[in-house]
Amino acid sequence: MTTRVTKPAIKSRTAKEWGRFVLYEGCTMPRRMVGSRYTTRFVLDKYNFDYLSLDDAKCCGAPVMRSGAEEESIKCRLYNLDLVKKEGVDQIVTACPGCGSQLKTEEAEKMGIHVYHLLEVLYDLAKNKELFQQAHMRPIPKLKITAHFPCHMHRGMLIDAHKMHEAIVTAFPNLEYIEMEDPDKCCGAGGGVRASQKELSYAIRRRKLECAEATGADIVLAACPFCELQIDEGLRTETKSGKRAITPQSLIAMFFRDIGEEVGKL
Amino acid sequence: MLGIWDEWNLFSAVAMVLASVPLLIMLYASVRGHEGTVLCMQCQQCVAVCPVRAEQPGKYMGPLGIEVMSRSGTKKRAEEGGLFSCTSCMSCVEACPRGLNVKHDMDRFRASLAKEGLGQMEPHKHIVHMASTYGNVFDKEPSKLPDITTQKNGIIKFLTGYAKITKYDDFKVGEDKGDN
Repeated sequence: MTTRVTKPAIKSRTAKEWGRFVLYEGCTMPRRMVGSRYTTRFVLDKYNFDYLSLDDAKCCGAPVMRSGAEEESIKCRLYNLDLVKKEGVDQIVTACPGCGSQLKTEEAEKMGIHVYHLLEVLYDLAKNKELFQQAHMRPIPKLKITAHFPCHMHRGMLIDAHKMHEAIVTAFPNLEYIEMEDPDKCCGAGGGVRASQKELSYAIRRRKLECAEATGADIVLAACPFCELQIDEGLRTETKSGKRAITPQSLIAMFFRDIGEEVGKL
Repeated sequence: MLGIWDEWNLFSAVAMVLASVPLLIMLYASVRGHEGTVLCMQCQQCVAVCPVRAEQPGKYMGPLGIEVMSRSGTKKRAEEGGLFSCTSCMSCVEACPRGLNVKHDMDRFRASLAKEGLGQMEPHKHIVHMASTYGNVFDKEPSKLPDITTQKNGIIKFLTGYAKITKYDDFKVGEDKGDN
């Protein structure tokens, strides 16, 4: 039986129309990719979203499922969905597609919980012309941007990654969006392969790095903390181009003039 | 000598046996929770798009192998064919003309192998142990999310890197920089 949810996303909403949601942070972002963790919260705060993060949230169960423990994985999923339900919130937003695709199931739908990726939130801001905040942003530098489409976002959560990345990047002046060849090809990190078979994982990554390099872009967007980790590490260690991979929210956060000041207040 | 009626009965009996083979396979697969796999027509569209198969053509069985082996329950061969090498990228799911969720079948098949001590490597066992014991797959500490204020140094390190690639040359922590 399939557990994929194929309903199309609803039309663009403003920050106010989004209403309250749970920001599900997963494991990788709050424990390894803390830069993206901070920029996710920073961006949501800047655009006045009403969200809460649950301290008791646990692993979504996706890596557990890939590791051969289906029952344990389902328990993890239901634990987190129950936690959200108890808060009386019916929306989850996550910046991790692995978590998103694990949580966005028929079980969640039956519980009345809708699961979204952060890219959908940013896309709505772009569509509503709210993303570029000239009054609060420094001059946007000339940058060429390409994007990797995370598998679990593009195919797992069934999000139109091409449309959303293009809209988000082109919402800013001076940014040029260049689509790489095979943007939706796997970066090699998922399925427990990076953890268990490094050589195979890196061999798959090589193709991704070649495609990213060929675009001549300065920055590779990876809307997944695990893909960000994998691709950024590859760009730093296997290429001499100086390109880096970051999440879309990190790119946007760095345009705000007061990000340095805000992080200083932590 | 068989009469025409007897010949007809014999033909019917043989036809019934032949027709029941796929049904029996379907029944066997569905008892084991792999009912979707019987729809696989082995068109190889999934094989053509699999990134792992492209890297290990002679070694990795690919999504088609996952479907066929999970249907027949050949676990040892699935372990040798690299069931735990799948990156779960779902390219095969997207490519399948019959809409089979190969990732779901793969997950379920991995679980049935793991129950018999097959396929799982140490990192997989570690992930399961960490998630079930500590509620996350990285840190051996209470399962609550780390307080973001305790991560300030790490965040600054990341942001300093982001500033370089976004041409934010005068980025400094604790100061309002950049003119509009």
